[in-house]
Amino acid sequence: MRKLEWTFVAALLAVCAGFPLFQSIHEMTVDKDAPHVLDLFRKSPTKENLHHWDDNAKDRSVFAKWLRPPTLQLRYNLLGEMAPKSVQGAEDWLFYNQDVDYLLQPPYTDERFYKGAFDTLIEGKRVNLRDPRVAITDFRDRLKARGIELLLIPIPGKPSIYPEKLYAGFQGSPVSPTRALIDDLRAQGFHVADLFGPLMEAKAKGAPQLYLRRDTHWTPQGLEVAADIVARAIRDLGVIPQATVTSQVPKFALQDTLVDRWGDIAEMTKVPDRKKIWALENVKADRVIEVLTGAPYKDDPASPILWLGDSFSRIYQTDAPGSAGVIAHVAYRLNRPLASIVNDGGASTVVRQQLARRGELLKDKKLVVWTFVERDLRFGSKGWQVQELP
Amino acid sequence: MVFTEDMFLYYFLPLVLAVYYLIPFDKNPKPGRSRYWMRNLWLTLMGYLFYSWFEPWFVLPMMFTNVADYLFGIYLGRDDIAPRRRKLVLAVSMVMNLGLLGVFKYGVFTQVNLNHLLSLVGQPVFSVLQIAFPIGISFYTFHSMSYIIDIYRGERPVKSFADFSCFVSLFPQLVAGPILRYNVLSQQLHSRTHSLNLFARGVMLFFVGFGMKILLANPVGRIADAAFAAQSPHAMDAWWGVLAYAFQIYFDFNGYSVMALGLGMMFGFELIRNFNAPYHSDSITDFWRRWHISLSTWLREYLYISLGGNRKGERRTYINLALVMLLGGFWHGAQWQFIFWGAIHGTMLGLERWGGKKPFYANLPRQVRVAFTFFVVLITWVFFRADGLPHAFHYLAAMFGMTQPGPFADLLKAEIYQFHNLLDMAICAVAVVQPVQSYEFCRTLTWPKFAVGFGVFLVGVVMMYTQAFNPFLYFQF
Repeated sequence: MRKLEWTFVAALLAVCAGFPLFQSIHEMTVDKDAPHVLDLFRKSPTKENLHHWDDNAKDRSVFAKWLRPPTLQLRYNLLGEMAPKSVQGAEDWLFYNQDVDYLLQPPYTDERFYKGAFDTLIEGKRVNLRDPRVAITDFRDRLKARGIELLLIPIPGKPSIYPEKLYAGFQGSPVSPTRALIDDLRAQGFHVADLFGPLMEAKAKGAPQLYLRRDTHWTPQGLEVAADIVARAIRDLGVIPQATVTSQVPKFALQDTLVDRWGDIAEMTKVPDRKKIWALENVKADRVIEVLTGAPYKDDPASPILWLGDSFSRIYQTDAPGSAGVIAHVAYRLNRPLASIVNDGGASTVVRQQLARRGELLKDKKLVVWTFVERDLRFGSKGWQVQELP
Repeated sequence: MVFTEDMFLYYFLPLVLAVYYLIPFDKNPKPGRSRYWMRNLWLTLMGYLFYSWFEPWFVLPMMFTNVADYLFGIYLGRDDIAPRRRKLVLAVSMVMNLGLLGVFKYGVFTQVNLNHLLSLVGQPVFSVLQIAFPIGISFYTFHSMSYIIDIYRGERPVKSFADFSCFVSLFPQLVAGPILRYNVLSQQLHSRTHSLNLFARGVMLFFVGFGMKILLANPVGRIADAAFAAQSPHAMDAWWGVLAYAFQIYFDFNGYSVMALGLGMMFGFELIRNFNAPYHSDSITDFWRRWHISLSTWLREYLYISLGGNRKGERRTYINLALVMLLGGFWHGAQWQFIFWGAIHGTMLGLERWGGKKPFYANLPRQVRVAFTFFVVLITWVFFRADGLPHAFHYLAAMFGMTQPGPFADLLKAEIYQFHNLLDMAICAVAVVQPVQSYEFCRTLTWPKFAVGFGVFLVGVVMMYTQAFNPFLYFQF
């Protein structure tokens, strides 16, 4: 009996004392570093320092590094389970859970949207900074004071356009809550380009796939639909002199390229064998090149149009094949280069913070095009902060 | 600190255990001081460290409560105090404890509702002062109050501050119970048995509780989170979500309680069990004998009996019952939904008592009674989980098909009916239905049980590395 009881004690100690002991020895011998546990005594015990230490411990854990990959692989093989950020759809499509949650959860017009957020006083008015309209209105007004117009482009998430690829039995007419925001903003006098209708229309007409199967982003075909709409919206605004838009010799041309996209959601699954499980997607992308030199499209900081965007603006643009993203395609359609600030996942606030640090970019601008993926209305990095401009 | 994270498992626990067992007994303790006073002092210090890990300043109100109630206890324990003065000291202590709870836990709730009242009568509202909520304050406040009430009722106070603060800040039960009554632990603070068998049983309980949290509660919690976050789910999805929540809260809280019991045993303490197959209950009265037993016992001993219990006539009994359940609900959280949750349970208890402590469905077959009780409990869990009273009613309406599902409601199915979700729910259902309870399972140790327990623990540790930080649900109370 005592042998059994001692075995229980030994089993507990083997894990609870053995793991950290092994970790410390590993850190000293393999990593040639002081044991991480000693860091606890090097800084004052504030909440931030303690939690930072916790996070570091998780990152440095030898056992986590060893055990996590085979566990994730086994869970996928046995149960089809993936890391929580990704959702398995039909026909090998993968979806980003924030894209799905944005459509499932209450929209900005619902009281629950503001749970845990508190009203803030701005110029004597009570506003809630979780409400995207507050930051959008503020930004519009600050630009207007400088004589600059604002064009808003909410970008549909993949499940808004392809809900049936997430759940094969999807029924009903998918109307994203973002369309209510578009109507609301238009009613308040904002310039907003609607990409939802044209993308759904293109899909209904049998257009090639508009979003990548295992990526959060659109295909080159999807972005070209968007580029058409945005370029038309910019022209219709009339802030850029027509002469410079239409009556010039074409500056740019298109060049066919093929590009392999692996898929950011496939990466998010963290399944070690993901590259064996899912094939690469090979898509045709039109690269924008300068007619005179054949050089790939390049931004022009002096352009009267400034583009603010997230990874939907980065894909194919600075990623392979380069100069084939939505910015280049809008420039191609407008026959003039644009200036841009692009930050992955940061379209709600970070791009405006970057703009505030690069105030010179606003010089001689006539128009700011602000694009953001619709899920950022709920999950935008740093929320929707009011941001002063220099 | 959370029992299921690296810091606790790999650093805190081995350190506390090692030093605890290196500290010698005091072979000749001074009168009134326990032979374990040094070990109790060590546990107290470690309790403070454990607690301060959430937020260092949280430890200040707890220390204040400790010192004040220790002094109140010493004073109340004197034999030369007039009854009126004893009552006054008791009242001061209660006001202090409930006042702290009121400020930290109910401060924002009070301000927000005051604003509602002001706006109803057309007065300008004020800016709500945000007050941080120290985790577990409801638990240690109840511990401290039980001490003072027990001393008032005739128990002898502890002489040693180390012993008293060890009772309040004993880390296994500090932030989520079981809620200890002083009279249960007073003897053990003074003299307790440290045996290899008790330690090994504690380890086994710890293994089992760890498995409940990591392998059962956390996976089904994702289903519940998705369903409750949805704007307007389909009826079936809403039922699936609340069922997942019923499993989540049971395995989360029971897992915590079983780990707390196990940890207590490793230090020689035998804490009280908190659960006894609550979903096997065949009435709500029965449910409260099996669910969060330490809370229902605490409320019965210190509130229901203090209010007169069933000794002041039938009408008063019903009022007392309702009041206890309402306050029990409010204890869980400063939100109307918890009061509503308590009100439903109170009403059901009243109805059952009206039938002579037998439910009005007492003549039905047991399986039907159990199913009906579980149905009522499921309905009440909606109030427990929802983001407020309007959301609770909306969710209930969705469960009964009385709302229009949102345009993308179908997509929820892709999130909550994956194969692994179905398997997790099936395992939880089997674990709930099967008759063996962890407490009994761990009473005797065998090699096969070791294999099961250690296997569950190892798998739990491995799975822990694939899960995000996921504290116990009851920490929020």
